[in-house]
Amino acid sequence: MANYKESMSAFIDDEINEIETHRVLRLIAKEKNDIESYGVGTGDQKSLITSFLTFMSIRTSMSQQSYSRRISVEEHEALFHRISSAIEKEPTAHVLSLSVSSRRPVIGFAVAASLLLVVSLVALNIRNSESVEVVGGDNVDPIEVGSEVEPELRDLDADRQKYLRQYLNEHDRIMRTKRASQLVTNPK
Amino acid sequence: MLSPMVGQNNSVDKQLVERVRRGDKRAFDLLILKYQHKIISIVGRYLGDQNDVQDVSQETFIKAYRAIPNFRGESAFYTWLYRIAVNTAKNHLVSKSRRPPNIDIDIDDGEFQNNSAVLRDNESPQASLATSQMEQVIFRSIENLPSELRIAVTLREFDGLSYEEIAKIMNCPVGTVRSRIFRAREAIEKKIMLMDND
Repeated sequence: MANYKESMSAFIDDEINEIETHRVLRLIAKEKNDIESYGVGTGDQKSLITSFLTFMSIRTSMSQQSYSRRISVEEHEALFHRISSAIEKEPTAHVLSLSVSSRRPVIGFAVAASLLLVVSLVALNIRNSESVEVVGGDNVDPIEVGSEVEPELRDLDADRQKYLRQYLNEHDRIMRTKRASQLVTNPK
Repeated sequence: MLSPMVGQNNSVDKQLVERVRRGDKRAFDLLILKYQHKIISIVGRYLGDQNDVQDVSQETFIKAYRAIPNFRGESAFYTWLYRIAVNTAKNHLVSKSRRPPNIDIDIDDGEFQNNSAVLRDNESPQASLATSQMEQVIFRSIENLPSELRIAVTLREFDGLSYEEIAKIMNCPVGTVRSRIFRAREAIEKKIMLMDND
């Protein structure tokens, strides 16, 4: 018992290892169960909670913790059991944690859906912008010699019209090539 | 004087919090036992009535338990608990249509100062007498302790030194310091029990 009380004393000072913490936990749980079952503690551990609270009261008095020291050890003990019983009635933190984490997949789906929507809109926008920005898209036929003469070429003679058509077709080809190169992103 | 160690070594608290998160409610009992005095002290500085103090302290721990899955460990557990206690006390005042104090109590002041302008003190004469008697017993017991026990417990409780620091000062192993502090506390406890029996 003295060893356990020493562990508890060290626990108060944060000078305890995990195994000792586990032992103290077990003993306190046992004492609580005994009190709940029989009304009083049984065995060697019966005064562990009382000793714990007495040690804390000693600390409180020595460190001048004004209000707390006006409550007796017995009152502290009654309050501890009250709080502990109230905690017993609560769902376990594990369950609470699950209820919090269960929201996460929903949030994940929402984010994924939003992302998909944004990507679709961007893709759609790119397609629309292609048809708007690119002069002479793939389905635009090159200007053929002998086809109906455009109004701006009417004033030119046949040779000049031919050269100008060649120039416009070449311009169209270069523009298409340039557009294609703009769509291919090369990070390197 | 250094304030007694508040969160100087959070590893034990972190272990306990982790256990609670995994569903071990017993671990929360240890956190209640460890911080009950401090929380009562802080809440007592906001509220005058002792029943209210105990109710709000209980509410503080229940709120902390419910919120523990969200505790990220960015601050010490006690700092987090302290904030819950202060907010719960203030909300209690608001619910009773009383204005909470404008000045927040500092985390150290809330525990370790005797008097404050924002505080209420409804201590009954009986409670005051009991407190006074208990303090007398404690301090007389400390005076009567063998010197190595007295020094160890004084360095721990008054000066807030760690076991390792005390071991260096007293030139002895850490295990000896631990044992001396425990024996000192046990001796004081026996005197308190005798006082209660009288």
